[in-house]
Amino acid sequence: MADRSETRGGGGRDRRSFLKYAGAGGAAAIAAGCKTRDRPGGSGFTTTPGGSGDEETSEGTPVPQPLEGNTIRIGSLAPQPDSFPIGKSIWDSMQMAVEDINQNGIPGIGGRGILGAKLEPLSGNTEASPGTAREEFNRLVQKEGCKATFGTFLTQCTLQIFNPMKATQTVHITTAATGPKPGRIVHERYDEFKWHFRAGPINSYDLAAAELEFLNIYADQLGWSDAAVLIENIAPFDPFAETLKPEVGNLFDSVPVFKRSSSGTINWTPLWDEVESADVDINLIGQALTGTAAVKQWANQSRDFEMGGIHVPSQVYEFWEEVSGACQYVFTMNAVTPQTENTERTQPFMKRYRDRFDTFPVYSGPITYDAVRAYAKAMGRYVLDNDMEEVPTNEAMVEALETYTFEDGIVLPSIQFTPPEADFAHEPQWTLMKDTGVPVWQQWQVDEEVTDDYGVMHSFAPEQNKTSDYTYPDWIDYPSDHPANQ
Amino acid sequence: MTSAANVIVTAISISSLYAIIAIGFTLIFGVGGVLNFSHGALITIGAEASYLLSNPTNLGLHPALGLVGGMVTAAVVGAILYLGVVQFVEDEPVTLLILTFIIGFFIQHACRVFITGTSDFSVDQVTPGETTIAGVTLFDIDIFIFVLAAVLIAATGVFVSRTKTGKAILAVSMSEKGAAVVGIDARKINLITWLLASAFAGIAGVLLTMKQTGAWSMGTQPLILAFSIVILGGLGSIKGSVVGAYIIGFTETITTSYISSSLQGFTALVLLIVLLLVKPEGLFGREAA
Repeated sequence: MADRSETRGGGGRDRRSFLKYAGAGGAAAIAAGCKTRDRPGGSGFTTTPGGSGDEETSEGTPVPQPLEGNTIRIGSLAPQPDSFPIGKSIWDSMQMAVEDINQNGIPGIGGRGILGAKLEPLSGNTEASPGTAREEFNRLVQKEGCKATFGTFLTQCTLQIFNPMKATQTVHITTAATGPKPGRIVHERYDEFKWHFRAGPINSYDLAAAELEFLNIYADQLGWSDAAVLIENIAPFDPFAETLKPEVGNLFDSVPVFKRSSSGTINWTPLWDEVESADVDINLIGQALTGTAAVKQWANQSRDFEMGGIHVPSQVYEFWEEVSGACQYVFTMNAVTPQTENTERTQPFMKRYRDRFDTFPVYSGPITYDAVRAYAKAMGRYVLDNDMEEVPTNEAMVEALETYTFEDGIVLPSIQFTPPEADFAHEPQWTLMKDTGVPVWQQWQVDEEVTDDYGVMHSFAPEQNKTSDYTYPDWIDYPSDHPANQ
Repeated sequence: MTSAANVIVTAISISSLYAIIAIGFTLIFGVGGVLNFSHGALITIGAEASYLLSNPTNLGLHPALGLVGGMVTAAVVGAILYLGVVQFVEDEPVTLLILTFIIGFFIQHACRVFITGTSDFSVDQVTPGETTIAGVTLFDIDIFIFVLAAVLIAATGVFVSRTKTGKAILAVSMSEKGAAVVGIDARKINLITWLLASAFAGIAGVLLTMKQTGAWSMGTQPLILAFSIVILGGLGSIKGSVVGAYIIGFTETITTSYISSSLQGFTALVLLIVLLLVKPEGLFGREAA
């Protein structure tokens, strides 16, 4: 990686902006790798119940603490972290990851903090606005001295922080946006933008590939012969529509409806009339902004077709209550659900999150939790492998993140970023749904064994993450030989 | 291809809703001469109130109580708006227009900040289910909307033409000075009109939320539609508003069903521009100018 480590100077406006903030007091922190040093003699940790951490390695030797006395600030870039589920999950999970690391050290290494360095999380509210995301990134990095940032929902927000990332040479790990463009830019302009990584979700081309794989395996089993496709007409779904359009016809007897639905659609009745008139079994959707109205009207009108695909509102635990259960039978791909056991660590995390925040996180939560811990572990491993006694520079952190595999994930068992040579660089390595277990196919169901007064986000595919069979809408009258009646 | 029967049913339902919205809008203009641009916000108020009352995440009351609550809340807010703001600037039409415009946005943003945020919200339908008549499936909520709209339109007609208060409303709409000569308190009549129109807006907001979903900004599109409808029917004409609502509702449903769903809300604007150029006085009413 050494040959890739040279960077060009920061560009005009961003560089001036950087210097202005640096002159105001941030320069020292940035020059020192955005770290601050606690008072000599103080560890910077507070004792918390049950958080003693392993003071020794598994071999019985003391865990080295070469970074003791340092405080490393990391920033969360989340939309409305107090209320919006995707943003709240990012911030809440970052706090959980930081507390875990501060109390129990790095996964697999132990100690406290990152080899003695205390992590401190700071929150930035992007308001899901690209301009605000950029301002908040600059505030967190240049004024607050954050060494790395995590989060960003909406790819436009991620892209808006690319230039500040380059100007400040700060690592950002995306944990909630799926657009493929950031990975493409890292590949094409590596020296400038190598600072960007994505811990998840997999990008929208891979998500579309996962949907085709899912349909290839399950369409027949579930009794889907004819399909309609309605994908919301917003930029993040463009790759999804591009990938599906030429392929989906090969998976069904017919696809009489393939449309981009307007992101301003409020009245779904005309579209549902059209889909129903086409006599399809399944309506494959991609919906983010219009998902609530679509589902509510589909259920209220007891439409004669099943529905699912990517349905962002259905990934939120509170959605069941918001629509009075109208989302029952709707399915969506997801990274994880409150029921799935992607890894042995998934359910313990979900339970802890539930106990603490009285809800379950959206996908952005577990991914952020993994991202922070992967970052910490990469730093720890880099320090140990290089016999260092100081916090690695951001340049070194890029190398560390490219080099080490994180084996303690709760979404994917291991996180390894794609190399710079990959078409989409610094993205999570993903091959097939069948091999990796993600995305999971979640369906809102009623399951009294889990809870008798709320919907359950079961997963019916792939096999390794299956928690329940697929269920069919009870208002549809299926023929006797249909899988619904088997 | 969507069947013609489905298109007609959808068009009747949505037109009925538009009629409820437009009648309120035209009543205020007809009586007080006020183009009430906060009418859309009163739709949002009705919807938000029903959400607080009948969504399971809030009080979880029966949807019918949500409907009544939405209507009453919007009526009260409308009355406060009249008593607190409008009556003081009634004679300054430009100020009034700007004020209602700004207050409308203020109310909607207040709903966003303090009640529902930016997410869509929903309430249960007062009449869930469906009914098949002559082979055509009708959703019960559409039947309910149609019947309720018909009742409200008829009741408004009877109220205006048969009752003392209604006749006073007519009198004020014709000549405020003339009405004053015969002892009619124009301010009281204006207040009653605002109460009535706001209640209609509240009902429309709840029904829209039941039929589709609600959102903090949900009043904007119906406001533009109401404006188009009353221009089409003739500003101040109740009969014109009903006819205009059905013309706009059918045109919109047909274009969204047979051309593109993205034309939702667009057709009404095209019609509005054409009408303002070709027949600014509308089909039944006085000239807009």
